[in-house]
Amino acid sequence: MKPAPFAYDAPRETAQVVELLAKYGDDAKVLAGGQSLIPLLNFRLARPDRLIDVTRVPALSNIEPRDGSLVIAAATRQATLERSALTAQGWPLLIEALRYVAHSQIRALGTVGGSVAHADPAAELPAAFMTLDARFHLRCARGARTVPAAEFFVSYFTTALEPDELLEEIEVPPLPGGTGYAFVEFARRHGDFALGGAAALITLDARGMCRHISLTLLGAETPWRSPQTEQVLVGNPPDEQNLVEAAHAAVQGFEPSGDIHGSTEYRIGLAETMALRALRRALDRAHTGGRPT
Amino acid sequence: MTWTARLQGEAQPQAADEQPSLHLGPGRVIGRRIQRLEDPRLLTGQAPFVADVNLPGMVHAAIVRSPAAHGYLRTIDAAEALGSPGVQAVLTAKDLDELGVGEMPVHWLRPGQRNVSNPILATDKVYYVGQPVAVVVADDAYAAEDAAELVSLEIDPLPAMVNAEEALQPGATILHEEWETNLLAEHIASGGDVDRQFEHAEVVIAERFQIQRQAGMPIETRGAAATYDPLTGELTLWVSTQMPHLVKTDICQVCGWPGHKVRVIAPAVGGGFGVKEPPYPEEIVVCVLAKQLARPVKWVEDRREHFLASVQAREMTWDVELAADGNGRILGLRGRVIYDVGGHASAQGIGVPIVGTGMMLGPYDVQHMRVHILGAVTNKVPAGAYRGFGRPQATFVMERLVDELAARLNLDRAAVRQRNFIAPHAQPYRNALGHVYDGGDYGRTLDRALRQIGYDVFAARQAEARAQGRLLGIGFVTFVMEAGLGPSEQIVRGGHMTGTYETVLIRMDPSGKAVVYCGSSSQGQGHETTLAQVCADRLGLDPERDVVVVLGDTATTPYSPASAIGSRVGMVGGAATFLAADRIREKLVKLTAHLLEANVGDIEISEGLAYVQGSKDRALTIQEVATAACLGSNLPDGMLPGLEVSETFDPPVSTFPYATHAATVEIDPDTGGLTILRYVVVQDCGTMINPSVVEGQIAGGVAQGIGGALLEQLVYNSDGQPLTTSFMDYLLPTAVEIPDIEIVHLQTPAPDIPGGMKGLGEAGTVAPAAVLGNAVADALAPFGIRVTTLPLDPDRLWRAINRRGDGAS
Ligand SMILES: Cc1cc2nc3c(=O)[nH]c(=O)nc-3n(C[C@H](O)[C@H](O)[C@H](O)COP(=O)(O)OP(=O)(O)OC[C@H]3O[C@@H](n4cnc5c(N)ncnc54)[C@H](O)[C@@H]3O)c2cc1C
Repeated sequence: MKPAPFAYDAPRETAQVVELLAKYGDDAKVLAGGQSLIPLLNFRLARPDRLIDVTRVPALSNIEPRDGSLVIAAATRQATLERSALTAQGWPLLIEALRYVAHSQIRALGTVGGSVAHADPAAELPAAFMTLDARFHLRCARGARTVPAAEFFVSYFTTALEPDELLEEIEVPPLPGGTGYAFVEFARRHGDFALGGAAALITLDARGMCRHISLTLLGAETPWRSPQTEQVLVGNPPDEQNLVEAAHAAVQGFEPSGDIHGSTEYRIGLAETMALRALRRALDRAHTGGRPT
Repeated sequence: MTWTARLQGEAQPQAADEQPSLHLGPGRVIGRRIQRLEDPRLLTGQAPFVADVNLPGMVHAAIVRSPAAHGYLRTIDAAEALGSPGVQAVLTAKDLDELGVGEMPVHWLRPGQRNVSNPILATDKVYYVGQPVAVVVADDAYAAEDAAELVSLEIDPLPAMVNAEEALQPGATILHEEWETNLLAEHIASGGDVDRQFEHAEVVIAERFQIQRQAGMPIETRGAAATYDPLTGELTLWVSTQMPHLVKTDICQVCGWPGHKVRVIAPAVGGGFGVKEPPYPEEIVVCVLAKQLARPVKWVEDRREHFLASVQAREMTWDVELAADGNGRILGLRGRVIYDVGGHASAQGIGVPIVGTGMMLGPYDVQHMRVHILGAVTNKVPAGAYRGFGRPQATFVMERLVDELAARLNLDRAAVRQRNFIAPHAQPYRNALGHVYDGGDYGRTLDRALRQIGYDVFAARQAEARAQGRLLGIGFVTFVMEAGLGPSEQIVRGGHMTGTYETVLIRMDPSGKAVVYCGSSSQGQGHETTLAQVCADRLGLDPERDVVVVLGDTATTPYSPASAIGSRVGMVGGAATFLAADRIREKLVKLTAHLLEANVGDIEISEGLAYVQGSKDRALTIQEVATAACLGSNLPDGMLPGLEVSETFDPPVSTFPYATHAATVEIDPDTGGLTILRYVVVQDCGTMINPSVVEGQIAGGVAQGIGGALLEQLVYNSDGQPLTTSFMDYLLPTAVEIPDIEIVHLQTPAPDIPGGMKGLGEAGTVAPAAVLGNAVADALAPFGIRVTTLPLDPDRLWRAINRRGDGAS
């Protein structure tokens, strides 16, 4: 469990990161918090020739408001986001999601962008960003581009990022006032990757009907945003019967892969339970004006 | 994790919680809650572990392990590795053969057992993924690992056999071709006439139980560092082991080296739990290399290797039947257990199921049983000891059967147990297999545990919860275990190749302070504290200031064949310390009487003083008496100078500690998640040397038992590839999963052991799987589910509740 030899760069500017990525491409890997990459190196499952550490670039560790949106620079530590007052005020779903990410020691090192770029199917932040319709700003020597969450996650541990591309920022649009939110999950132990989980947003209109719904399940190839759930609920009253139906609709086509901790069948059943619990909790909060309960 | 200790007034002979402040003397230090003497060193990072041993010129070893579960090893090509930067040597079986190094002995033998030793490095065949094949030595651990990757192995793969039951079927792939079978060894544990009992039984409960593969998982992995002095021919090995003296014995035997030139030191060891019981091939290899290269050599196992090469445990399949009459009186138990041995015998052979089955009838007065034990080899890591040593499995099986019996007869589970318990007045009781129990009131522990957990009101709570769709359950288990095995002669006759005695040497110098030398080692159990307390108690000393305990170094401590295994150090090491200290005390008393011109019978020793009873002004300090003894002047007639005593204690019998554990649980029907609401332990381990240490041992054991019941499972795929090789996949319980553990003590001193201690170290692990199995079965009773398979993971529970597949049954 010692990594194969590698070279190490610690640039101070984003431009230098991008330059190095352009130069080494496939042979290099971005090193952020190292909480996923270092174990892979130690098991020699990954053996890049070069690591480019992005945590020394001040511009890549930052949280700021921009035109009503929340902008998180990619190398911001998960713990920093968890304690951000700005985030708590406008995007509390992210904080509720972060509480399920590993343990506080790991969140102190792990970065927001690292979790997104790593794209573990059971990771919480990708599901939360999908629910929030986040946009990912990518940069490489060839130029910059923006990819919406719905197109960013491609497959297990695979994203739209090219080998020479850096995830620079994550932009989360504002939510309508009074949006109820919830992140729920179930894991075998506290802090483990989830066996099932769901993120939900519910905005009600003046008559108490569902105006906007967003529900994402985690655990499948990519975060599973269910259009069926939205169809069942939008324009309809969020009564218990509709929530049950919406949760059931959510798992239609949802295909988590089974492993030693839980079969596919179990994970589907669990996802339905998580969807229902997330919808119920989000609804409660929508009723109380979107405040934490 | 926290736990509440509720020391009840019912404990005898003294309420250990009342700290008679600063009262030093017989009966005053044993039983006291002092803080552990080793903790400041361990908690401040000052204690040296094997990984901390760094010597000038040291080189590092990396092990090349078999990537295949089963196959013929054709060639090993090390040319490229030898050319890699910093590489000093590559060692294979051929080199060991040329050096005249033999095979690792198996220490537990049954008649007809098919292997009695195993190659250190693979020769012509590999039997499991992780089996050591070659060793690369380089200037640092990184270079060694880089080069180890370059050793290329040509292996002709064979089909893997990963199921012990299938391994015994006709036509199964044979692992060790010369055996012509996969049966390593077998044993029939039998007493009475069990078939007769089944003929007239009114009820027979037949069930199949499956217990998964687990392992002890110490936080410190294994490791070894050796240095050889060519001038003197002396070899020193630091090794993370529970048995330094046995490691030394094996090295001498395997390498043909003389014992007086080999020194083995177990420094601070971060957990053992049975995993570090047997000597291992890597430990021998490091010694051989240190001598060959004339440079210090170190190897520290990494966690992945630990999952591939350190003994695993617990995997068994039981087919058993319990016979009873219509009132729930148990008549007999019979059946078969298949034990998954792994690729070849570990040092413990099939000892684990033998020990487990030996006490399977536990607290019940049943004189008829027959269990056929079969140990089958499979292409997995060899199986050996893990805290509990077969007892958790046997207890799970027996206690699930008892609950099923009660359910079948519609009787109360507690009442069925009380009906079958051995009455206190029937002690000492000889069980069906001939073990003679040393006393105990099992019914009392059950009553006490049920009172503590509120059994009488639980049914109402459960019914109320069920009405709301919530699933609550309660489970309880009473067990008796054989601990601190003895006497040596009987244990060796039973097939275990080491005795179970302990020798303790106590030295007092003119300062009047005592040093206790014991050949056992410590892996966190607190032996330094408990042995110091025993010594201090007998000698009127302060255990914190006046006593030092030296453990685990073969050069300074007396030979100890069994060391820190089998829940024995407190009991056997404690008894030897007790006897040795008493002999020092006797000498101090005699000498004091002489110096003060008083009668021997009038001398008392306490508070660091030796004085004439009732007149403390006629007193000498222990220091003054010790000085006189060590100077050797002014001694009474016939007394030799010096204050050094060695005592060997070979337990005339084993001890039989017992306990009841009870737990309540809640299961979420929609997730299959299980929460332990309360966990109660009522334990009688005889005299408690230090109740805090006892509670720490119980709490840690219960936590491991809970892990085994709910979380931990070593998984192999059909090719014999291990799927659990990190703590991401093999789930240990954390503080969050472990509830407060409420502990109630009973104290019935062991009648045959000086000091009255009974074994304790493993006790906590024995019951949790059974308790939680019973609690889950109770919670899921409305679904008609039989709990027979471990672990009780959420997928399994969810399927059972939602009636998909076979779930828990
Ligand atoms: C014990 C343990 C438990 C965990 N449990 C959870 C959990 O429950 N939920 C969860 O979501 N996560 C969990 N994690 C993972 C953790 O959240 C990681 O921090 C995260 O997955 C990766 O972030 P990082 O900053 O450590 O990235 P690194 O490990 O440094 O990198 C991960 C990958 O992302 C790439 N990368 C990183 N940053 C960028 C960037 N800016 N641009 C392009 N590529 C980039 C790297 O090249 C690498 O391939 C756990 C980790 C551990 C060790």
